[in-house]
Amino acid sequence: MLDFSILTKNIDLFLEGFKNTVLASVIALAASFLLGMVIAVMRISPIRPLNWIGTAYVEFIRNIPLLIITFFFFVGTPVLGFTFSGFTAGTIALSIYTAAFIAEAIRAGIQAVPKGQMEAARSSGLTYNQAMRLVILPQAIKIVIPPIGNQFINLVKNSSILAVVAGLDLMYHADLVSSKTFVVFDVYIFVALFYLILTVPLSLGVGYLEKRLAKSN
Amino acid sequence: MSIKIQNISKSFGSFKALDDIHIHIKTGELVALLGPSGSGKTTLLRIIAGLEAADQGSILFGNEDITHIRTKERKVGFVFQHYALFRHMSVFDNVAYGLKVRPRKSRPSKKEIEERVYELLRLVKLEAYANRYPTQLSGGQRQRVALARALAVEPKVLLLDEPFGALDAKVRKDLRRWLRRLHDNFQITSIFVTHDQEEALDVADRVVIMNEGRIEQIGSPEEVYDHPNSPFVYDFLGNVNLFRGRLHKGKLHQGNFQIDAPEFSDAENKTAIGYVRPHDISIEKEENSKDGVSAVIKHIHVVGPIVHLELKRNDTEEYLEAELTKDLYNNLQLKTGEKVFVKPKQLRVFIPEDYTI
Repeated sequence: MLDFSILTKNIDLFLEGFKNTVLASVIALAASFLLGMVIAVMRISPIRPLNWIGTAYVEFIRNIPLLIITFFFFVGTPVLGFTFSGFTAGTIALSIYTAAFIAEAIRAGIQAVPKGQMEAARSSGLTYNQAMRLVILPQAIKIVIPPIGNQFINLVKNSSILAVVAGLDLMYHADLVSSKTFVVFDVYIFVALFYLILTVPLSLGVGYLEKRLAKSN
Repeated sequence: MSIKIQNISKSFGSFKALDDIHIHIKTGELVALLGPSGSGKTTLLRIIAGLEAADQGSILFGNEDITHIRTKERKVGFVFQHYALFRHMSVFDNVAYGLKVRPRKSRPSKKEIEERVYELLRLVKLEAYANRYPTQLSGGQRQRVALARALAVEPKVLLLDEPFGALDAKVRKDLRRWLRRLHDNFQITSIFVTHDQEEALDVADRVVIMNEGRIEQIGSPEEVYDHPNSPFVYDFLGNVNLFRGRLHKGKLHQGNFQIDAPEFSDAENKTAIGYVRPHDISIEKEENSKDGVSAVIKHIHVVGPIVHLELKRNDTEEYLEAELTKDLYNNLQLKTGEKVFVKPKQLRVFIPEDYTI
């Protein structure tokens, strides 16, 4: 049976960690979405150099471990003269890493929008940028919601990487509690429940959104 | 706005889609680009719109060379085969969009845009549907929205890519008549692509018949139908019967049947093919003249006021097709299996050395 006293006695620590995990997730969610969108548009851009940069970004970031990116911002950048806290370093790494996956999802979504839509927009007098922003992306978003939802759920779980660089998140505080109380099993079960509080509503929300958008079609 | 298409060529890899195309379209004309699939007609239309770049040649709108000008600046209205309506926007927004996104100095006021959109929706008879989304409309309605959208930006040239291709026969017929009237009211230079010869002949002022990236013939519907300049055009514009025979001193001989071909009066013993439209074949029950071909009626199809006969020649065993009016059919009292005499009323002779079909 779980020992709930561990939870109640250390609730401050758990809540502090939960707060930071939520904060890191929300920031990384917004940042990775925006960055991912930009990278996706670059990847399909008719301008060659932009195309190359977009492709290089995705192929590089997607194929190295998140842990290495996190270390880079925590122990690597100080060499270059930038020092970040564990929380900041972790959140930046999380955003950059997730952006690569989101970019791929959005690119696939954009390419799933029929070619005629771009041509129709262009012949109606829209510039390429207008057509992309006003015609293609709004349609691509609908296609892209389910895969992006998955990426966001992954992002929340991956935020536990902050613990490795003293990022003050849920996982970090759980480590504190378990080394203080010498209880391992119960602590991590509680932590798992806290993560579920975040990810289950996210997952249900994505499902709901998906259904609503399908209806509006 | 007149359009001059000058020695336009375009290849996709090793496939030559267009080969040295020249067309001059007068202001206010409605021209059909007609051809089988792969003939290059859609590619040509897309090059005129700027959606595709030509390998060589130039395109002039009026006196202005627009070959290297982008689609957006060409001021063309383009109607796509599959409508390509903006699916996430209402009918109103679809039509209004081209105006809404203009830079501030050339953009009409909100009220002007609204008036213009409703004017166009009235024109396409879809005022009541302004707030619907494209998926809530039928195919014909969607195509009309696409047309309103193309007209909203006040194009100098209207380009339509198989505009009625995806619609059923009845709607297609209504819409093409309606397009004709619309064109007559707006007097906007228009080009439409079709593979349906009936549609082209019905709607267009002039028809450009294309085959394998080249122009076969340009002319009014009457010219191209009555005076096709090649077996291809003859064959493409309708059903045709072939009379293979020998051309000698202005006459086409075939067995004991012969018919005048005065334009070949100096031909000597040449193999030739006579082309005859089904409605140019006369049917007689008695052998009145020497040049009738004996045949047996195999099938009779009555389609409304027209009767199609399938006949088999007794001499060569080849099949022929004939069309007569219902009145004539009733007078002759024809039956399946009956022996009749067939005679071409009008035929066009081509010598196969010049052309292959």
